[in-house]
Amino acid sequence: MNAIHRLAAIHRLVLAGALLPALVLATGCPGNEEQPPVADGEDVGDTDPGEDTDTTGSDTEPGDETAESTGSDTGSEQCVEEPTEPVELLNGCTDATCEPFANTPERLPRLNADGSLPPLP
Amino acid sequence: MRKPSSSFSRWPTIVLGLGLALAPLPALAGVEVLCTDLPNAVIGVGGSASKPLLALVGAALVDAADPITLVYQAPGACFGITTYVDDSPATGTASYWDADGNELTCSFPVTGMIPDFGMLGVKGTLCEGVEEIPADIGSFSGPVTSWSLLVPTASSQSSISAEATYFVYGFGAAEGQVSPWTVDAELYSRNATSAALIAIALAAGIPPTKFKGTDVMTNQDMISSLASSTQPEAAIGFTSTEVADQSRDVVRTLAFQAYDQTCAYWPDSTATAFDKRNVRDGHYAMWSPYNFYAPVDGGGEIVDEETRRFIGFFTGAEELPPELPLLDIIIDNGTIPECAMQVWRDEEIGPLYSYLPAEPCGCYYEARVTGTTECSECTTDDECTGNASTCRHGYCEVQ
Repeated sequence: MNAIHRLAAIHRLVLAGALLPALVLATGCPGNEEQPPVADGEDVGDTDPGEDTDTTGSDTEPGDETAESTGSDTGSEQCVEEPTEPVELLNGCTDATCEPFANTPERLPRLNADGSLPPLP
Repeated sequence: MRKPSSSFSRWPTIVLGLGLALAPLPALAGVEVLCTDLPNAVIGVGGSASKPLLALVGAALVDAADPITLVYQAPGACFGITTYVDDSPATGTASYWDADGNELTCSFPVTGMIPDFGMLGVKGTLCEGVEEIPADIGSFSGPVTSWSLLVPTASSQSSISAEATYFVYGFGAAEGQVSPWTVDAELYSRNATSAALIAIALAAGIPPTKFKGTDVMTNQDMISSLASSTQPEAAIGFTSTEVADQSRDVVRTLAFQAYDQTCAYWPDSTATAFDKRNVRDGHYAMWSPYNFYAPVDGGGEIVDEETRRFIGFFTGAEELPPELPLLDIIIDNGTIPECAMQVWRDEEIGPLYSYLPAEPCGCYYEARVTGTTECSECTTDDECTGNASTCRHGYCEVQ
């Protein structure tokens, strides 16, 4: 993952019978937390603006924090083990190939200073 | 459009330059075939994304024991609903297919005609001016298609984010300043009647009417425009993934990173696969089911008998004829049957949720597209144990 992505994930495990689903509460990417645009008053996109991307590693333990991703071409290291929510499904752990696109000011010069998207012309 | 089954009516009327004659072949050079004269013609209008699928279905049905001649005109997806909303007849020419899959051309009546069905890659209510679907028009769901942002194969680019798409297509190439897509002449687009444009606009958060770029009119013309670009590094466009997949020699699908997604994924598990795994499991966000629209009676049944058969093949309301291996056709075309999806959504490009089809076919799908599956083979339910207890299409599924 690119350098400006700072991951601070807090994991909580819920033990239910023999299952051990990982529930991740929060992931923050300060400075690069683009929200789906609100274009012309329309809220479009897959998720609620500002909704955090839940993540979990593949070998999480209670209290573990996922280390910052250093880049991967096989799934995202910021992934959710047992996704259920819409954003989790987008970020579910997989062995499929992926390639992070860096939403950085260098790549997207028109980003607002706070990382948000400006309104359309 | 059920036609009399006499041998006379099985051949189209051929209009020659100086008179009328009947000929035993439906499409000869320099002659005009009237679409409505084709045997059991079912005439549709809509987007070009679905044309490859319809070509395969049309070829299978034209020589079936109970044949249908599938006719399709692709002026843009939204015409598949606005023809009913505005009561605007379709005019001009359309395509139909012989049993070998050869595309032939026929003409609509000069006064135009209201088609038997419309076919869109998005819901009709997303089309401009369509507030609601008329009460006498039924909506029927078809297989899933995904949408691809594309670059020429000569480009070095391999991924894009929703944010980048917002700048490129929302501001325009030069104004958007997303390198290398900064040349307005290389920003290929469609107009707001395109399902591909509507779907990608939704994914990027751009109102369809504000989408920038040069309108190239059809999915197939988009491929041609990208393939012939003189500045391939700066060129970008989009089509349905099934159209893109047929042209991987000249265009490449970009991995797409949706809003709130941490990595960009291809529709397939890798850039070179054809398994649509990331569409099926929710990692690739830009997909939607095809929608059929057709006139219905008060009970919601499609009025035209042949159209009812044709759409019924897709919905499961009609038994498939032996000449139409529809599941295989859908899969081989690069579209995804609903029974192979593991996620679903209730609004176009909206939030995903986990999904278990009523009659899953994921095992068969995987075996068909990859040649392998971890599912157990079976011939009856008795051979299926554990959670995968139901034998479907030769494999044990969970229900």
